[in-house]
Amino acid sequence: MNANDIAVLTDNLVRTYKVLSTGFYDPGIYFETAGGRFLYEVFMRSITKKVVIFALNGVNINVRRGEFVCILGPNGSGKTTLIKILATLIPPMSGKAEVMGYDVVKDKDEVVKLVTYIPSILGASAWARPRLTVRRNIVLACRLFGIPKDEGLEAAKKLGLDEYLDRPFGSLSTGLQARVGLLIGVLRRTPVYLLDEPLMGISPEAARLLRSYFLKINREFGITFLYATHRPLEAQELATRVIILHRGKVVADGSPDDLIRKANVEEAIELEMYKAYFNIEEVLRRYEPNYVHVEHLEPEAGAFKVIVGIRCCDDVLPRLIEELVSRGAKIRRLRVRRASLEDAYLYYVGGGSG
Amino acid sequence: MRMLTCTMWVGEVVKAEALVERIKINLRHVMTFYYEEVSSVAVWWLWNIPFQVVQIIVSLLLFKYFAEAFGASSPYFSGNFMSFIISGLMVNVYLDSSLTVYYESIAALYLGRVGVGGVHLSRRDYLRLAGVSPLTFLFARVTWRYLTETLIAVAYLVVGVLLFGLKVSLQADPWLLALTILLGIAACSGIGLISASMYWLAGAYRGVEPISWFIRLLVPLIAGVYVPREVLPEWLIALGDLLPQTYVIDAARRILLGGAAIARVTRNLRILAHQAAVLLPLGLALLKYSLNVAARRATIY
Repeated sequence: MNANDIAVLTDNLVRTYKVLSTGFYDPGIYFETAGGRFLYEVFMRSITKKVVIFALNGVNINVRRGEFVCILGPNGSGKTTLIKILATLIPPMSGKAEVMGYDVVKDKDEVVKLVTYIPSILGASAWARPRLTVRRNIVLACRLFGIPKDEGLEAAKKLGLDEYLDRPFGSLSTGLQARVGLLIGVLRRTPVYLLDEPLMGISPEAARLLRSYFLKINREFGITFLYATHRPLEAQELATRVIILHRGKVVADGSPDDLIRKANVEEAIELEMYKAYFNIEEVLRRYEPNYVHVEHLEPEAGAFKVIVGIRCCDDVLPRLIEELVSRGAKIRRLRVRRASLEDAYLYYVGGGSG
Repeated sequence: MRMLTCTMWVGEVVKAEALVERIKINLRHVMTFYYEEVSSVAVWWLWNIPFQVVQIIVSLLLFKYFAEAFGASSPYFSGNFMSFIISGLMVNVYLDSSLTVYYESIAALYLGRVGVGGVHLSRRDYLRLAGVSPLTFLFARVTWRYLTETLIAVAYLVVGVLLFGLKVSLQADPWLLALTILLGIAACSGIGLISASMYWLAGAYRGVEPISWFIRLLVPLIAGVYVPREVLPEWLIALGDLLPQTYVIDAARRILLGGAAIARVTRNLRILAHQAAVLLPLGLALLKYSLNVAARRATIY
């Protein structure tokens, strides 16, 4: 691979956080006077043990220019940390990260000019002032990002925000706030887009609009996308390549089809049952599946939803049904389907987590 | 040789042009933050200004009737109690803001960061993505605060002169007064910056920041804002001697009410300059260090 073709590169990237190993009693509002809470907190924190957690633990990725890559992983797998490091918002502890050939630590002023960072709804409102109208917020953001305000207002209309322009930002619903949050990201036209679960909290029609917009600018302008999500089906729909992160490490990297093939999960049996008062996971594991995912629906009623990933279910299915029924389980729903990226994902991250 | 000189000269011009361009961009951002402030507080100000003036008048009425009831012709007040009080309050507006504005600006900069997991973004993160220095934001916040506090100080002056017999000396040197207040702002800003650095160094956002809290508690009593220092016990006077507010308020009164020339306030100015020379660099260094700590610590704390 030619070095000039690489849009994003990380080499043995490590990021840790130091956190308290345990919580402590909150003294309540009466400690607010005379700086009491402050002294209490300082004291308690000084005697509470700290632990180091690895958000990223030696991550190596390469993204070619114009690629649409999804970073897939369960909660806490390091997706946000990786995206934030590439956006220069967090420094790595060690290792190297480059965007379009620029180091994210040494050349961070260059890097921010090349990336557009779109956070999820949770981060969307940091730049927006709740008491100001949507219009004022957009004008302010346009001024800071150097975008003509007419372009900003025009884009707001395209995102279906025209009738909310004169309402205070704080009075909008969650999804509408998310759309305002996305707006500036959508307006910036940089060679690399870093997206961190951008469609969380957005209604399906707006999400569809944005997804097709991302794909359009990826294809028409060759913009590189690094898109963090924990939804495998979203990744399967968008990405040409998927990188699966788990516990701060890359556990799989390839096209969605490759990942499904390598995961050795050809088919999946989905079952919903009740009155299953036995160790269901132990029973299922006897059939030597590639993975088992058990979801507790109503444990007191013995109700579960299970997904069993298996190479070929033709001979397994009758035996499995027979055994479950003989143990008293009532099967409410049964579905056999071709394996998707979701199955491969569950295989790579170990089924139960995420 | 001439060619080399010429190249160096061109290089200097290019550097100067780049610097001017950078200043222009930063000023544009400062104006954007001012616009944000104006937009945010416009409604608040429309409500608040009349109430501010009412509050000033009512509090000064309280002092006036106190004086009438208990006699305020004491020589400690130079024979004019109301002038003593109003001048103290007026000057302390700037000094009190200097203690708090840096901490509040840091809190506004990291709005959205504290108390949440990895996904949230702070205003500082957005500014970083927009290529705007957080220092530009802090500068805008701080200067905006001084501009609004000037309105309050002017309100004290106008209300004082028109309604409460504040007697400003005709010999008062406005430049000397401005210099005194500026030195006071510089020294108090040193304390304010140290207080702001506690936001990250000691996690002061978890409760009340004790440095500025404690100083703000003591100032009205021992710095001579309301009470002539002569009536205080020795140990309180000694404590007051440590505070920049004491020297600013004393010098400002002499200039404003007594028309003092520079020779009569030289000692105060010298002490203020020394305090500023120590506190300001210390505050800046601590704040810089605390911001580095915040950057290293990132979103999870």
